[in-house]
Amino acid sequence: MKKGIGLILILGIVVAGCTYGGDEGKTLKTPANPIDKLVFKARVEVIPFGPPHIVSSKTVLDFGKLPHNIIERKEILITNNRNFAVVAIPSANGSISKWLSFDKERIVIEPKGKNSSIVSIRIPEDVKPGNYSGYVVYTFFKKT
Amino acid sequence: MKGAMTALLLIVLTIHLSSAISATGTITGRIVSTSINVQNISFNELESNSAVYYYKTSGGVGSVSLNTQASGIVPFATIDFALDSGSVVVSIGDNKTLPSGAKIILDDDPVPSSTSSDPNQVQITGNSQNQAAITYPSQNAEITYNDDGNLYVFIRTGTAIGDINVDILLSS
Repeated sequence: MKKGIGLILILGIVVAGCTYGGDEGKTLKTPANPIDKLVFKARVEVIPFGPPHIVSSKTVLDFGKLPHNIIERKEILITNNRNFAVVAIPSANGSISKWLSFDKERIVIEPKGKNSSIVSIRIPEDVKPGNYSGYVVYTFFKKT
Repeated sequence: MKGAMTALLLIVLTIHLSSAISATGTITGRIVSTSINVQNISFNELESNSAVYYYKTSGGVGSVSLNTQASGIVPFATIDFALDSGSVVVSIGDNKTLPSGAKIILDDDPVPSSTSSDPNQVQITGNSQNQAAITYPSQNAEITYNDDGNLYVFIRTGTAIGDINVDILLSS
């Protein structure tokens, strides 16, 4: 009986957590049923000193070679060719992810519209030189 | 006239791209620009001297005369263009403090030169209000690269005395 109640509670939490909050500015909740994904590989080489090496890769979020405490930003333009508005939620994973940040937690893109997202990186002082990588993922949901 | 000036540059580099990345379905994304913001590129105290151009070295600050290669210069940034060539357009940001007569040269090579012998450079000069203004070229302040390359910064203090605090925006 207790096991059953616990399961119901867990299910309830999961369902509540998957309810999408709607417009920008409200508390972020994880929506259900993603309709699309956009994936960028991300990498950086942390160097102890020297000038930054900036890479303008076509296909990769390549932050090149960065010394500590320098902020590098990359702007991604997202185009929605669908006939309905979508919401993109950015996320990052891998060894690079803890230094990545996004200017917006959610990006609303109108039908046949465009919007941009800026991904920033800053390497803290205590990070050891070396190569770090991961992925930046934009998960899309139909705007309700 | 001998004097000292403290140079502090804030340089913002933006490289715009036209490359696209396909997404699944009918939503696409492309990386349209890269920018870098480096603060406190301090030259510390620079002596007023019209005959030399100051530059950063690994050990501090060096100086060189016109048309002479700067020994041991450290590039401000190295640039890897997506198409192996490209250009950088220079503009000035919010901070514009540059003593009258002082000059900042942005160049793709480590030789401070006159604009007649090396037109592929951008010069920023302090005007009579001690404000930075792009004085060369008069239009399209652009540095072109035929290959991946470096960006170098030189400062000529001239006889000026005062602090340098200039934000430089580079984009292409």
